[in-house]
Amino acid sequence: MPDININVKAAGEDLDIGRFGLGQGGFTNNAQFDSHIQDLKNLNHKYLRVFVQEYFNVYPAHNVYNWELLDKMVKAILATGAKPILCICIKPKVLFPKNDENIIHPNNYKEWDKLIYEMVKHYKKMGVNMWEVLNESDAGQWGGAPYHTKPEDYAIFYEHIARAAKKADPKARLGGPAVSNASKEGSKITPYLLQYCSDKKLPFDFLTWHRYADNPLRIKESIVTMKNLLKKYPKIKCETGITEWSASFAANYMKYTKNPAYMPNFIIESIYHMVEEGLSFCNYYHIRNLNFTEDIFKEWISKKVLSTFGWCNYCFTHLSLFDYQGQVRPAYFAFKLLSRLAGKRLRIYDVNGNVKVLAAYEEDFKMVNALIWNFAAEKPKKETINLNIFKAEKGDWRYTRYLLDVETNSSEEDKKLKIVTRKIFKAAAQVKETFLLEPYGITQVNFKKI
Amino acid sequence: MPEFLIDAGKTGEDLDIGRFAAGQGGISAEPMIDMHLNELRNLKFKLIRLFLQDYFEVYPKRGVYNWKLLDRSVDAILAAGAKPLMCITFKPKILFPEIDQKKVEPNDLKQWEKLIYELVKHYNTDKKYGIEYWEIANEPDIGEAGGCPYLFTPANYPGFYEHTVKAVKRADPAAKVGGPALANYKSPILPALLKYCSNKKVPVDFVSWHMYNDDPENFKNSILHVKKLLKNYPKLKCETTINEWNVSFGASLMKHLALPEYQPCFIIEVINNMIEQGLSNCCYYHIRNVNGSKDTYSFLSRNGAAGAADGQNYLFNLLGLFDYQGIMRPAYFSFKLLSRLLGKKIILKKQNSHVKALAAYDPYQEEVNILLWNFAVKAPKKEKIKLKLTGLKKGTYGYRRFLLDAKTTSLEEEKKLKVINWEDTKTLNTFKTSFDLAPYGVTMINFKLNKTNKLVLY
Repeated sequence: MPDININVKAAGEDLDIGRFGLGQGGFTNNAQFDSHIQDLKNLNHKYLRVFVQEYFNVYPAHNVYNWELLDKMVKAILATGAKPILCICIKPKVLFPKNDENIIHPNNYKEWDKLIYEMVKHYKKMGVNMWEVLNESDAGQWGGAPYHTKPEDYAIFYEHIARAAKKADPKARLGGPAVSNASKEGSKITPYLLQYCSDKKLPFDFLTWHRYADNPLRIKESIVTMKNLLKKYPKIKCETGITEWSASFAANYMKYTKNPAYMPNFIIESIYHMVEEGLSFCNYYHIRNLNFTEDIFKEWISKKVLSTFGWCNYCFTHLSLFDYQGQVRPAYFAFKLLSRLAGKRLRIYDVNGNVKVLAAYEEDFKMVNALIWNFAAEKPKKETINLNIFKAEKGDWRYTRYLLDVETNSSEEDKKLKIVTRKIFKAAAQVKETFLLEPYGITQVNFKKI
Repeated sequence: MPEFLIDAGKTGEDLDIGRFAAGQGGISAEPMIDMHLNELRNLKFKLIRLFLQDYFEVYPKRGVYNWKLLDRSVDAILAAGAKPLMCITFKPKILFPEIDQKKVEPNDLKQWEKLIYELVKHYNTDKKYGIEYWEIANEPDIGEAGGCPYLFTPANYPGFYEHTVKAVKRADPAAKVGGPALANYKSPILPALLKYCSNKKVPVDFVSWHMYNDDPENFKNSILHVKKLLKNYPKLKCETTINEWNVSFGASLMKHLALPEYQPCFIIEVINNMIEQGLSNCCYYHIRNVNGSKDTYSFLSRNGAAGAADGQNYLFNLLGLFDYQGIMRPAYFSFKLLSRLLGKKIILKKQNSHVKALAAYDPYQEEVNILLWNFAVKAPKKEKIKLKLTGLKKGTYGYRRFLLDAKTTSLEEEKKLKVINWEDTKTLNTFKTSFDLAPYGVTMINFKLNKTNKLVLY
């Protein structure tokens, strides 16, 4: 029987929960989530990652810059209240005439550098300052973007972008390499890049990688691995970000369909590990599912690879916060509950078993929010929780407990986030509640001085 | 057993149901309703109340007017087919440098009046929007607790009101001005305002107040109270409006969540009381829930901002016609049913049961719409209803009856407004039917003449 003791006076650092944000794409030049702006605003995220792909047509001809389509995307992101992380994956035809993922370097680096300079300069005006260089270039086209790089080519390519970007905006933050393989050291690209940047004193502001796994421990391991790797390069002081992550999206599809509570648990458990391991930020993949159309990719993805992309129409089902028709999925509510953890972290020690807690105290609101979940990769058992919140400022407190209901067919928030307890405690400094938490149950306590 | 004898030929005035409308905000500078324009157009609201809060930054510096942000919200309301009711509640920094709800006078009245003049001119002269209603302050009797930065007294509200409305009228003499949008209709601010305006011949075209309460009888009592008060000032010819209202959303939250059919039925009962008591219009609070942060309320004190954001995020569950993710709540369908009551009100005998009816005859469509509901604060019992419809032109009719299902998890209209009957009658001029109505049941009858004497229901 897990005891959860929350000391309201034991507030530590700002939890800054909004840094664990979202990503979208890279399917189309439309702002695929523009019908969900308000829903995303509700989540109060700091960052939203998108792919700057060729479909934005930013460089249609020599010395012609076209920001119209990408502007729309950036404006949509800003409207959600987040800042864009723009992942550069473009291959303009005039600089890369041949459609070949193994061609990394543009035919004219001067022109390429100018393009990057103009792009960063343009978006600086809109407040964009996070630029990621390439997407899954260790996997090449299989990752949906047209670069397949060797470590030494990636480093040179990175250097060009970093220098051009910093020239346009000295405050720009540069990072990469967003590799798909984070199981060891993020493919050979990552250590090579770190060594290269360290030796050449290149700007390097954030190290990124991707992770799709069924067990959140794999996410945790990837952070530990990358943090250990970074220790080898003491000159590099950078943030760390998992800029794509989710559950594995093919092998265990039936598991998620049969157990819709798994995914929201997986999200919360993974973000818990990110907090614990000191990850700087993340971008959950992704916001909105869309059915895939070949036409949009055919200019810059080979026919052979493209012919397999149809699986996006089937295997992305459980990834998104909004499904193919824009219906909100349970995963959305995992982020909604997380978004309530505003303020400073309240560390909870000694919780037994599979039940975990993330809690925060907001001084201005005089409000505690505690998210409690019962997760194990293999089915956890039902638990009786003894919750004790103590050392609160003496006064009247409103106590509300919500339970995430992933089974309901209703889309209403009141049905998804069911209020199961609501009480007013008069002249109290402490509150206790004992309740059951089912396997994969997710509950949230909101305790507010009134 | 409630019996309803409805004579379609016995009609009164145009019911003008669209005046019983809604409000939005003031919780964000974003239009908030813009994802729901079609759904709102469906409801045929005439008015949508809008809070002109400081986050619109309409007066960033001396002599500079910025309508860009506010335009978006106003344009969204117009696109929804309604006209905004503009509740002026901003406190530009340069005119109110200190954040203090009790500091209610601008440091330069001339500049304030010019700002108000330019605001009205922008919408009604330059843009020709013809915005009719301009309201001065929001819940000035409770200040920041109402999410807005003014806490007035009976002594200082009338003077501020006068300066503001004179500027409004100077820009547009046809504009209607009013207030004080009280949280508590018994606040002494209202009699003080009425006395002041009556004595000084200051225009007051409407008086407004708010109410969040689970008992529709209290709404009726508030209208009676204000109307009685107005009789003391015969020189004033005022409209009356409850331009924020809903169930009590703090204490009764759990009750309403457990009984989702209460609120839709409550809405209809309240609006019926408003019609019965001759209220001019209303704005249900509100259209769309959104989450927000305390940063939205930078014009309030730290405590005030935290309180406003807490309310918005944790207490508004029951308020929106659309929830935080834009999902339609059952309350939306009450307004949808009400919106069908087009044309002239059919005069009905007063009912002595929990089941009541509102009916209208639309001469253009040659149809009768009858809304029936079974409401009591304490659970009413299931009722068998007998209904006789007379005064009909001889002919065949399409008879449809819908039942509001507040419990279904489906969002489809056909599931929310279930069709119970969908049939043609024989040639008749009197129609009879009977059916059961569950506690808090809401049903609507649509009875339409088949003009070509062919079946209207294919």
